[in-house]
Amino acid sequence: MTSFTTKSVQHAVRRIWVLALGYCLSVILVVAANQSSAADDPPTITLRIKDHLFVPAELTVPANTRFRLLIINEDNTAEEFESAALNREKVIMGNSEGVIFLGPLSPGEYSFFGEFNPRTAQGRLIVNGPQS
Amino acid sequence: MIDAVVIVLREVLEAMLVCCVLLASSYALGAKRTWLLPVTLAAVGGALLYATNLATLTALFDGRGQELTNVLLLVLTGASLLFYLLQLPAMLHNKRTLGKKEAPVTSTLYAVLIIASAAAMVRELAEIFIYVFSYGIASGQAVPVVSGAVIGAGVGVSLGIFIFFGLLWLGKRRCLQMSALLLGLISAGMLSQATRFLVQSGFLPGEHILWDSGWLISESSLPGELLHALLGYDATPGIEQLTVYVVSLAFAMLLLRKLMARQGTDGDALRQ
Amino acid sequence: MISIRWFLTLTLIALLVLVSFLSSLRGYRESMAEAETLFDLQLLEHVKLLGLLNPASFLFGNTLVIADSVISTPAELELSLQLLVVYQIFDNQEQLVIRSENSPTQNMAVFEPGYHHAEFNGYSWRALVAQDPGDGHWIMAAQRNDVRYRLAETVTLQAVLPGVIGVPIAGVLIWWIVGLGLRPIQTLAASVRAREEGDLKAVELDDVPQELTPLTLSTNDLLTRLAMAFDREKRFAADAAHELRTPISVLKVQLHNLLHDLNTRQQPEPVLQPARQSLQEMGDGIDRLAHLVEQILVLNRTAPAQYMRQFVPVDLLELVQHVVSNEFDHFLSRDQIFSLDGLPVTIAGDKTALQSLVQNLLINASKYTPVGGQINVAIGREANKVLLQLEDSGPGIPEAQYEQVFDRFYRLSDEQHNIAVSGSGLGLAIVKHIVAMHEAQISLSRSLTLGGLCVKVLFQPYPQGKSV
Repeated sequence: MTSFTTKSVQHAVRRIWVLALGYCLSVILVVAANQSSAADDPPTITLRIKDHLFVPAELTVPANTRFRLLIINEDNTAEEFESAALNREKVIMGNSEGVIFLGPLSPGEYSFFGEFNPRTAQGRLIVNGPQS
Repeated sequence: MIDAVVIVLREVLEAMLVCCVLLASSYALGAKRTWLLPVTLAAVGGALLYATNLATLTALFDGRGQELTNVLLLVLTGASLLFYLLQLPAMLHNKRTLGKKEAPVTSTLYAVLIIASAAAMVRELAEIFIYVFSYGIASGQAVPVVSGAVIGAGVGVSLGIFIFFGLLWLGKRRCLQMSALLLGLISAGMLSQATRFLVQSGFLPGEHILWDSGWLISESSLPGELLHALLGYDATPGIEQLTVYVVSLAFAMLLLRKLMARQGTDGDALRQ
Repeated sequence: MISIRWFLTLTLIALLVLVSFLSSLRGYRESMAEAETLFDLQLLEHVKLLGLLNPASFLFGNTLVIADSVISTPAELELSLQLLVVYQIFDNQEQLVIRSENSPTQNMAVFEPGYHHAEFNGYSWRALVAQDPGDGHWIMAAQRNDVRYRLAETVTLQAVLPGVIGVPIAGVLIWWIVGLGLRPIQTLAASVRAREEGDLKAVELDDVPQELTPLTLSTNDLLTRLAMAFDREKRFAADAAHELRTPISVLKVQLHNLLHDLNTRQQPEPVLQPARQSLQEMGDGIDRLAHLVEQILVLNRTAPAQYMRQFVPVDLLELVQHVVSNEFDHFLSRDQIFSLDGLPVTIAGDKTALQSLVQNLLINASKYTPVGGQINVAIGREANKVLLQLEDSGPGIPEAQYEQVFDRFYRLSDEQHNIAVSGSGLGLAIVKHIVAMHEAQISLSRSLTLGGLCVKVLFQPYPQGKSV
């Protein structure tokens, strides 16, 4: 039996924290570097979940713009917003809301769906090109 | 039911992969199974805590609490996996100097095993809890959701068992190398996922999506899921994600090389 | 190495789960597709039925009412409403002619014959659109997708559920059956483990399964060789010791003669003195040799593996008194104070062996206790057992060596234990054998009263009711 001496556990935890902190530090550096551009608050677009459906099922946003997607779940049940094309996933509990940062996106169509109701809860994000 | 199977299978597969590879690796080192109970308790407890407080958690930090928690768990898993790889060569050295009877596994390593697997399981288990309780049972679809969850969990755990015995079947030496390789890939995937959550919560810009290989292997297809669990596959990776992935993978491969070199010198310690 | 039972159980269950669940999933998908076709056919039948009606003949308004008499319970009504096919009929100008109660006023789907996906009333629908080839009027019928799905799933789940419930039961059975299959291994191991010390008879081959026969055969072979080796060793030591007795007695006699001869010589004392000295030392050496040979014989005779037990009731106090009176010269010659106290207690044992035990302990105590020291012997009862306790005022034994002193030929060697003290190094080994033979326990500690070694031997009491 190896005994779990507090010293060695502390040691392990410290080393893990060092690695984790290294990661976090580099992230903070990048964040700080981008702070100037991200300073202005991006516009918010709202998407509702009602009866396991997305309302509206189609969202339209301009291209090359950064924005916040506010997802409001009006059902009593939880839902997970997921999109492979947008590379996002987030669980929204029943009767609550969540925020996702998106963009800047190039023009095109990006589909998203509710992972818990993949057949009915489907929607599309249409990104209009710069000409329109 | 089929949705339940897919969701639960995906989560279970990700958690089982980390745990089974770690378990096989620790078996090859001669570790005891004592760490399994604390892992199970910590994972189930943590997942329940996470799942029941998710709404509050999400609202924290300007609506970014959920992502930050995920980042914390992912970075914790990834970092402890890398730390485990870092420790392996020393363990082999111990094994040689201490002789075969003594288990070379120190309590440091046990702590790392516990942290890595518990942190890996919390997120996945929590999502299953949320799906089964906050969605399935809350929407009155208990039978299809629960039976789907049972099937998904069954298939996932069974695959995990085969991964475990498959790795053990390789023999101790190859098992250590193979599991170290897998753990390196998994940890790189975890760290890259953590980066994606930072992009999602607006901490990182996420301006450049490098490519879209969704037409080739969709992330929601079975091969896509497997690759996601194994390599952290992402059909549309951002530049930050790729950078983190490449850097941590390079680090992991460096550690793997060190391990193989150590196995070369301490070859007889593990040949039997 | 992971246990066979775990390996077999886990892999078999995993295999069972994979095969049964994956086939369940396949069955599920097939059934769902089948149900989908069935519902589509139902829609088609509706459209056909509607096509038989002449749109111009509808005079009673634009909704159809279901007779209340057909539907009895609210649950059925709910189901019927959900299941209800909604329909619209348009004329060839795409103007709505008639529609069912819960259909929208706009066209549900595009004017194009075939199956379509439609969304209205907050649900998603499966719609079938057909155009009458005669007058070109359009018929649209639709069903809610979620209702179709749920109904199909309810039916299909009935087929899947038994498998899901059955697998855990099968898992428990597999665990049990694998354990059953591995039982012969445990039985074999137990039968080898449960043997008496020194029992080297072959393992019975009656119940051994085919796979274990080679192992059993080679174990038996090994046991036979081991038994022969033991036997040889035992006989060798005993024989050698026995054979040595005669030459030793001859040596003793000759030495005696030589001394006698020397004493009768008419020579000056300074000439004789060195020779006499040498002969004296030689005599001591021969005595030690004789003692060693005797001890080896006792050691072999009392080895628990070969001792034929013939226990009789023995009064321990009487026995100790007897041994002490034989060895009292020892204590006298070293000027040691000896005390014995206790009450008569009876134990079951072998008299000769017990005498040897007490003798060895007493001589040991006397040997290692300095001149003028003290030795206490006590006999009493302790927790249902009979206690024999010897304490001395000697230097004692370091705690780390308590185990080793019982080894054959182990001698303590430090400044406190005079290396010159003669002894065979077999005394405590013999004591250990005799203690084991009587199923007694021996323990060493530091004497609290005298500061030296304290030896405690706990014997099983003589069974009550059989007292003499």
